[in-house]
Amino acid sequence: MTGMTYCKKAEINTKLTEKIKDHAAKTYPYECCGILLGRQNEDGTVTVTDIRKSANMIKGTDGGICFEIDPLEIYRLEKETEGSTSGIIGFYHSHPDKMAVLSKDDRESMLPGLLYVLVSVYPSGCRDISAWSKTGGTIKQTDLSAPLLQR
Amino acid sequence: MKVYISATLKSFFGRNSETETEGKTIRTILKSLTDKYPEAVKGLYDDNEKLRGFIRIYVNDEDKTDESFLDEAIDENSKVLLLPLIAGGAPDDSIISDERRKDVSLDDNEIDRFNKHLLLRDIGVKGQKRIKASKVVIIGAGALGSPVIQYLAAAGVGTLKIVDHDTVALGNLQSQVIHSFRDVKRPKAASAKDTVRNINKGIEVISENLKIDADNVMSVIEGFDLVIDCTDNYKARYLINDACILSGIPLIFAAIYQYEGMVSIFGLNSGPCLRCLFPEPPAPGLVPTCAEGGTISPLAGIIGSIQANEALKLIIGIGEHLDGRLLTVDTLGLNSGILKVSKNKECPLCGRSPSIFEPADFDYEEFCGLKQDENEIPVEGLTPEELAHKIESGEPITIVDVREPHERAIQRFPDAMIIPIGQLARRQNELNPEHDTIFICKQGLRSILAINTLREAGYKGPMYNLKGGMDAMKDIIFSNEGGWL
Repeated sequence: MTGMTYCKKAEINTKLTEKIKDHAAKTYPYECCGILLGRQNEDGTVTVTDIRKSANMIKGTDGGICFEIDPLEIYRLEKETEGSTSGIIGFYHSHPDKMAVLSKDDRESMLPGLLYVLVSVYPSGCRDISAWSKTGGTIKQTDLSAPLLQR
Repeated sequence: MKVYISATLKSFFGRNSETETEGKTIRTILKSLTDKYPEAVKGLYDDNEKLRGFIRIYVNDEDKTDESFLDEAIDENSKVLLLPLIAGGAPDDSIISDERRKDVSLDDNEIDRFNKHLLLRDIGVKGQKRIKASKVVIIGAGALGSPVIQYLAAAGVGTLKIVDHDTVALGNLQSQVIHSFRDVKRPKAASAKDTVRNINKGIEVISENLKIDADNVMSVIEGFDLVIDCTDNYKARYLINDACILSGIPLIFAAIYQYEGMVSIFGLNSGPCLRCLFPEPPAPGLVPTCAEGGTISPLAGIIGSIQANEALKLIIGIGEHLDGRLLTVDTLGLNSGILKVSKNKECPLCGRSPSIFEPADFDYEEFCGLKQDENEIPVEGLTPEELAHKIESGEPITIVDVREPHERAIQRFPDAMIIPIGQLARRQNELNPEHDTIFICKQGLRSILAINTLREAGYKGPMYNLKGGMDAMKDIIFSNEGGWL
């Protein structure tokens, strides 16, 4: 994990995308959240190689409008993946009944250099998926696509 | 003291996961860290020198982030972790972007004028600026348009476009409270614009004396944030719905009839549209428009006010919206309810494989399956003048009024037989097949249905439809006042 600055492009295979969507749909009307594992490529892109579902620490009705991931879970996962080629490269969460765009809270709690994947979910299922990353003070949408061979 | 720093915070601390620090308390540990990594100060602390919300400090797996633990002595062998709190919230629902909001400002006068909005925590200055930045089209300046236009103007919507092709009639004043007696015979769009001007001169009002059709509907709504359908007929509703979905502009729909009304939002966040809810409108003759069916005076005020309220909620970005839901209000029994509206995957407009790519002027009769096919004998019609001539000539004719009792109460047609459409087939022997029989209704549509019904029932006599119905007859009747009514 080198000091990455900004994820200009992220690759995620459809199987993992479906896993995220499934998590979002099953957690509806509450926000789901999870951790993206992967690697930073030399060309400035990142590849998501696995996802880990997290429990939303926000319980009750507030869990429908916000989420928190247990910091200790992040610590444990970092220990677990120590020395392996992939580590934590970002996070995902859902927006029940809302668009897949960053909220004010999302923006304020974003850490630079990480990938944030958002999925909009409605009673009928997931609608849109988008990815974002922050560098310095700038937040940009990241192109999220499936690797050519795994589409 | 060793401190573990999560790799997710590497942009602040470089790639070292474990760092030796000088401190014996959280305060001194943090001080030691920022001394070592001066770049991290901005990442860790906000402008008020408070630790940022996403930083968490754990000592022996216990969250010790709170300020009260800052000076607590930490045992040398403790496990100190500096971790991120990954969190977030739901996005703002406003259809007006932050950039647009920031482009407008409120002057002292406006702060005074919109004081009651500014007092509401969820509206405040930000919400009021969004209202000011918003651009809304209202199609129809009649019963529903009256409260919608007036409330949106009063609330401070920056740009209002009012579209209506009609002129104010005396009978409109019972429910169309945006117009006054002196506006009778003036275009509704112009009259509504004057009312808005009297409420707030600071609003940009565009009035268009225009009938919505397939050629103009897209340009009428182009560049606007929201469309409010205040029309009273299915043709306009379907045209507006199609144009909104194709342009990606949310639509607030409403309809009223007698004592009941309904409101919904279409095309919001890819939600369902009118065609998902009602794939086809009802047959033209079967459901009278509100112009024919009548409504209790305040009904449009109630339903239109809900439309205006929904519009403001979308603009401010608060509350729950009626997308995917249909609100029904029955003012007679005082019942209201919300029905779920599902997106239709087979919807020709917003479904998986759409077939509508531009608004089209559909033939309403054909759309409703009522258009006569070529084998069918066309219905012969009489213009009001022709009917007047027939009556004056004294030839034996029968006039059948198929209108509802409440419609006849407004204006009776002299010497007409009264037979509701439902009883026509059964009562056809009351008609004389030797005489010309003329069927009348309010607008000349249900009378066609009446003629076709009788034909199907086997009636062989000559039948004529009064073209344009009683509405078209009005001028003639009024010109002969004494003799006729």
